[in-house]
Amino acid sequence: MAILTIKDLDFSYHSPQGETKALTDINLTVNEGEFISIVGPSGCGKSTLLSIIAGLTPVTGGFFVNNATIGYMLQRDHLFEWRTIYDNVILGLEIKKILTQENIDRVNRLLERYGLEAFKNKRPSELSGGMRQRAALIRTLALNPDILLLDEPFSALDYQTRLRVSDDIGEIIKEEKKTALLVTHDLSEAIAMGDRIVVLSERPGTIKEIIDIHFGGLSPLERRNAPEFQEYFHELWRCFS
Amino acid sequence: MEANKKRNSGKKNLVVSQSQQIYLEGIRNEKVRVNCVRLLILVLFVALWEVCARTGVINDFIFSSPSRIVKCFVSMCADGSLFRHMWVTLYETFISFFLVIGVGLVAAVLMWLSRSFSKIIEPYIVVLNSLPKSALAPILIVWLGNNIRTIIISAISVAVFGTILTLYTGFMEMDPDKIKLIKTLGGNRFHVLTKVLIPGNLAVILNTMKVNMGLSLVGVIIGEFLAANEGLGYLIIYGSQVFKLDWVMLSIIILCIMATVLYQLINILERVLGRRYS
Repeated sequence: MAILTIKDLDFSYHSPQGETKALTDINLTVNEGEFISIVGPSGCGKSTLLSIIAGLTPVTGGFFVNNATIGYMLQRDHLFEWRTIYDNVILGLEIKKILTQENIDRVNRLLERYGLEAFKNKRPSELSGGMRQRAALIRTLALNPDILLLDEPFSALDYQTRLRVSDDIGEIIKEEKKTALLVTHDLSEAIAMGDRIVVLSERPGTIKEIIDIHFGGLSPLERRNAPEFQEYFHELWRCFS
Repeated sequence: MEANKKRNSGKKNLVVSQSQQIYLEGIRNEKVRVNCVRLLILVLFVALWEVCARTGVINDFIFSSPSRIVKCFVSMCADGSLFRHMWVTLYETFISFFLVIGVGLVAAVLMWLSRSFSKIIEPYIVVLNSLPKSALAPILIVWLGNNIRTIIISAISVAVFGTILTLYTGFMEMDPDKIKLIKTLGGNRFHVLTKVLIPGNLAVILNTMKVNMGLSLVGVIIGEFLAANEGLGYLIIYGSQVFKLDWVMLSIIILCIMATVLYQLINILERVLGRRYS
């Protein structure tokens, strides 16, 4: 079932120097439970696309139909140092004034399930980069969104942590049965995590190609070792050259 | 952070090697030396002053002397007049201080809320900030009269414009992604303000408090010079006019102590909040 439909989407930036077309003619249907990776050269409008879907940036042309609530994960975790991990995680609930027992229980369940129970009362600086990113994901999941928008959420991590955390986060998203859109410039990451890969062209960004990925239930780390991985990588690489 | 450091140094102390001991002793010795020399300078200065006054090198009618100041202090404590002057100055300083922080925060928030308002108002604030505020004091007397209002307004005028600019800059320098985060969680500008800008700028706010404590005192003294019949500023200007230099010197010394104590109060507040927030 389609959870998000984007139709003929255009987007332009305005500045005193003139108008810059950032995105043009984007058509995309996202089905429930799907994990979509979006790749493209830098400056092609990948992040802008997420921003539009999240409703943070108004569209300038075309439209999108969105039957879902949206959670957004930024490049860096942005956990607030003046709050404990628990207080950071419930930030969204606090803002929306829905600190109900049910929601608090869900947050506690998530913290426990993903190994942050013991760090509830710690400050963000006392956690490793991977744990911080997990806390940031739980902060997003606390509002129980249908779609997760991931804006290069691993790019601030070192390579080893990055592999582990992307595996981690990928599993959490599968387990919680969320739909996800991941923007990344890392082609391997896109293949390791996505069910479909959307390739954007250079600015103004438009969809160049959509590649279906089939690994049959492997985790992101296992996918990287599967023989098909190289083939997908070559296929994706061809789109760029 | 601080607690961590203490814990670490505590751990190290358990396994003190000889070189570490020598190092620590060196630090301790240095501290003692610095404190001794500090004290010595003060003692020498006071002694020199007293000796010069007694031997007639300087005229103690004009320059006063430590013993005369002590005598003056004792007599003014006895009749209670000193406490009244101190209280008045302190009270005016606190009122000005809290008004400056309040007005500064509200103005900075308004400027942050409306980009066009801040654009319109900014040059005025910049000009008023660089204007020497003592130039305003005579006008304030004429407009507001010879009373406490004049003193407090002049104190506010000294500190408020700098406060507004500092807080506004602090707000504007907040990481835009932190603001974006609040929006992705469904928050509006009010949430951005209460969840990010204020707690995230706590260090900036405390710093302006430190500066303002001093500036409020400066403003109050300027005000008291011109429009008062009580307070340390009044005592200084009146004392110099009737050649009661003992009053002047005593007031200055008390102001030194008062300024230090007020500054330390903010330092304590900073430590208490710092422990809770970072």
